[in-house]
Amino acid sequence: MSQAVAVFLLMLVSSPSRYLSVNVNIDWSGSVKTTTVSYRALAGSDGRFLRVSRDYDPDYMEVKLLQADYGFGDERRTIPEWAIDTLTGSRGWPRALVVAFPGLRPGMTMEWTFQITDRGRFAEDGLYYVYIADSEPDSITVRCVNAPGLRAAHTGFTESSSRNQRIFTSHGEDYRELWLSTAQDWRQVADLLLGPSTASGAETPPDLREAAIQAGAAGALPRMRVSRGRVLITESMTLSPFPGGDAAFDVRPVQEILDTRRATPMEAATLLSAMCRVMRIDAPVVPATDIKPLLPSPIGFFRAFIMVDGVLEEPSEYLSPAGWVDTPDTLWLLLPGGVLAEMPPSAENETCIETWDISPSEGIFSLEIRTSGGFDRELRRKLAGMSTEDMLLTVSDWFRTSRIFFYPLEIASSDLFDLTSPASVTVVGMLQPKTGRWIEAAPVLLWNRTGAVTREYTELERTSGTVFR
Amino acid sequence: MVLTALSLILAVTAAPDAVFLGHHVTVTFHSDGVITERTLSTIMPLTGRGVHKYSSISLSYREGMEELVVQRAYVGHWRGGRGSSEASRATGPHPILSRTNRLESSLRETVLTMPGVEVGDTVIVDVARRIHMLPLSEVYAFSFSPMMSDSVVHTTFRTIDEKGVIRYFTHSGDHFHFRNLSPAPSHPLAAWSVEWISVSTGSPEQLSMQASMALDIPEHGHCPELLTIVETHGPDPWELRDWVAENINYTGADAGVWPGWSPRSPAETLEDGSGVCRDRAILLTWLLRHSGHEAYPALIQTRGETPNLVDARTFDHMITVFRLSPEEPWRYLDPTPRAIPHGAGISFGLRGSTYLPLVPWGAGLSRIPSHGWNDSLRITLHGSLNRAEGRITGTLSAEASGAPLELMSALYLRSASDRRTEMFRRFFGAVECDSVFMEGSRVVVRGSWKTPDNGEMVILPGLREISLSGTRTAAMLLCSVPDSFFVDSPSCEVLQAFVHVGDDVPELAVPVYAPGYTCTMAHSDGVLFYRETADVTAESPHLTETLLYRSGTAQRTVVFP
Repeated sequence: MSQAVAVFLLMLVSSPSRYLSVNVNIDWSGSVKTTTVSYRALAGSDGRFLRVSRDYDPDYMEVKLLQADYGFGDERRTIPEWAIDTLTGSRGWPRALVVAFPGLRPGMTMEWTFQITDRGRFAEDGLYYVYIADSEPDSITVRCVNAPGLRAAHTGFTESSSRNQRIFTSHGEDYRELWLSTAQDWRQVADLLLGPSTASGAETPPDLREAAIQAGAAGALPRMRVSRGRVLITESMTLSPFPGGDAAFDVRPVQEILDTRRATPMEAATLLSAMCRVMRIDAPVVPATDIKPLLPSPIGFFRAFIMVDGVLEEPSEYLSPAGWVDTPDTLWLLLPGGVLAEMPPSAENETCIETWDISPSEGIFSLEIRTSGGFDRELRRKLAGMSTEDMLLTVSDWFRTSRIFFYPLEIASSDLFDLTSPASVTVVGMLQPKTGRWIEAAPVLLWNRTGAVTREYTELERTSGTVFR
Repeated sequence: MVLTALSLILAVTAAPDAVFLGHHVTVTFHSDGVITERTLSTIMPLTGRGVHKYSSISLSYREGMEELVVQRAYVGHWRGGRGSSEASRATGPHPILSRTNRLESSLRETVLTMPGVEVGDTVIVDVARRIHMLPLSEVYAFSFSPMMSDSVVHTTFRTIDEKGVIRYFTHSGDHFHFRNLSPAPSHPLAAWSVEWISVSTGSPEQLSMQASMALDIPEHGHCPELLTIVETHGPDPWELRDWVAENINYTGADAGVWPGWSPRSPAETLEDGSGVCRDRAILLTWLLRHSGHEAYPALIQTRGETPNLVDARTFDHMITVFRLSPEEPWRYLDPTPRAIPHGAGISFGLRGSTYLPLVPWGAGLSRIPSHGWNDSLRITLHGSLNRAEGRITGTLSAEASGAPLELMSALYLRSASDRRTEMFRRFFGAVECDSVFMEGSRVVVRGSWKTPDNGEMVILPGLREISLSGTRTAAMLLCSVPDSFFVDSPSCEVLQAFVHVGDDVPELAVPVYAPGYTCTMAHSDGVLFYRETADVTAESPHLTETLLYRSGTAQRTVVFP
């Protein structure tokens, strides 16, 4: 590469794109929410704004591009027709309106405005809106119609009003969040989120009864039966990720869920809850979010648990393969009766034992890994559901990123879908060719978490972090 | 040897996730010019993964040029009383578009969702693809293979002509090898092997000629900006490639007669400053022509094996080829990727790919060679050993060419500036890194390298630590890893280290002279010199042994009295 090109590229790399301002106008008719969002941004060299998009669900939403232009100073370009298209959305949204900015150059300023019309169930129920941002953009203005009962909570914004509008502005803050909601309490939110689930879960079709009978054969203890029910669901159903928007909390009739053998996380939770009801176990569905809501609002909930004897079960996560319910962050649970409860991150016993048996004379090694807690989850997430060949490739890659220069040849594991016993894996392989005297840095597997890792090295003298012969 | 044996064991013992009880394809040529590809598959999932794989079946097509007709799609349940369930069908833009910056919603996807599939159920999919229009050329080709990742019991393949006569028929035998049951291939061209069979209505040369006529539009050359660019940046083909890659943003759109295939004119591409591979290749072709070169666009397939008989749909990418004289071989320029070494022309991911130059006289298929790319990485380390701290502190200078240079450039240019030091610390296996600087094809790193020490023996850092083995961990720092980015690059590696070890005279390791790998040591005036070489290029005949040697430490272990 010529030096000139290299310098040019370096110059480009050093100028990131940035939102400058966002202006939001929210109108609500009592059943239809219309949000107009105008963005102003500065293009950098990272290509971040080569195209922008807005996810939506065509079943109840419309998105229009009202205006877009870009350029240097007053020399503005408009968007050609070909550069606007409807594609698949992200994060569970079925569609996205995508707008490309052809010929965008670093240093250009850009402006575009989306209008989103929402006729969904949430919009019919109330006016709900959340804006959370860090130091970008520099300036945020949110204008919202002062709907009856509208409450606002915010950090980093200042509030004013004009005619029938409440105006929230923020300039140059490092962190800001704004919550708008017409919900009066969490019970109203619970009714909104759980209405379809409650209606569906109240049915007792014959197939549900049969599934409950199968789960009931697992034992006398409620937890054993719930656990079996969870296995039945995850082994016989295709579980999809949380859909975007209102669809996340739509729940079809239980019989339809059973017939199609497909379920969203909310449907899986509803199904397991209904099975528990048939088994006479109280197991309400509990939605959860990891964003602490400043007001009662249905926005942000993205997980669906059931609660049995104060313990959470998450049927949609079981075969991910997450192993146990993973709660690395604080969760806010919407409990029965409309109570928002804080659940701190799990502080379970996290241990890992690596037992290395290295035999330089034979040129082979074996490694046994036994885990619990978060290490157990990490191991299952890494390897569960893989063929032996894929497990071996994954472990080879794991060795490589850990800078362990041994060659795994065979691998065996416990049943990584069986949560009744800790996960364990044994790897056998070879060392490098034998030439002369040899030492090696003691192999240390790289884990994605901190915790008590015990490493045992057998058959070798070990000093100062090395093994040798 | 051991690895080979292991691979064999795995291959024999690996269980399929599903079995294709039947897989039948019929290609029918209709009198109105429409071609129908009808595929009937009967699939039985055998494992949970098989259930997952065949519960949802994705079929892609180009709206406007072809249509999909789902004749039957259902699952027959083995459990008594469940009967069978129809698949639900949903059609929308292909999700790949969202990931690849392409606004070509004519590329559609139909998803067949099979309700309630269990292990042992039977999934039946009967789909007809009606092709109204072929892109770039009338040449039609179809390749059929029974070699799937899942097991197959029985397959058939037939072609039916305009009069309804079966012109070609073959089926898999007991060992999934094709037998030609027809007396002779009835179509103009047919080729078969034990793994796949292809039929075509024309040769690659015809495809090349017709596609050239479709794409080579003289008016495209009447764009004044082309001359301006050539005058500004000079006639060097590699410079012009770099200019296109840097100045045309990657954004696609449906355009022309064949959406997804028709390139825009150079004038349109320059005006918008945007284009995908085909737009860029046409632009570069004309830039090269204006600079006095004989240049043409070329179709290329970047993934998998290319059959002998092809049509335009076989290929997934477009590049530019040029040559200095008719006797010279084609040279390749891919104007799509940004950070590739100047002079390479293509990313090393394209090596070994099959391409078809689109020339007026019709060219055949060619292959970009995998070998002879002068991939090298020469590392020189100057430092001092501090046994108390167990490290060498000094300066590492790495001079690269070919694939390793592409890799280093990509890491350097794609990383945020505040992550670059950490990235190259990982890349070169340092425990600490003070500074990183890249100039041209050379990276200079100041830092320290760990020297495991048990009080008697010391391991000196070798190629395994300070060469490409750190690429994978370095690549984790990239915001996104582009498709064309490969973390393993072939190269001929040389490490020379000059380490001040003080007054102690160490006992040196036994030198290693293995095919593809050497390591030697010397000591003089308090400086320990060692040199390690490893040939991990694609053409290396002893790659496995070399990697094993390179992973070792004995040859880099010195003993202090």
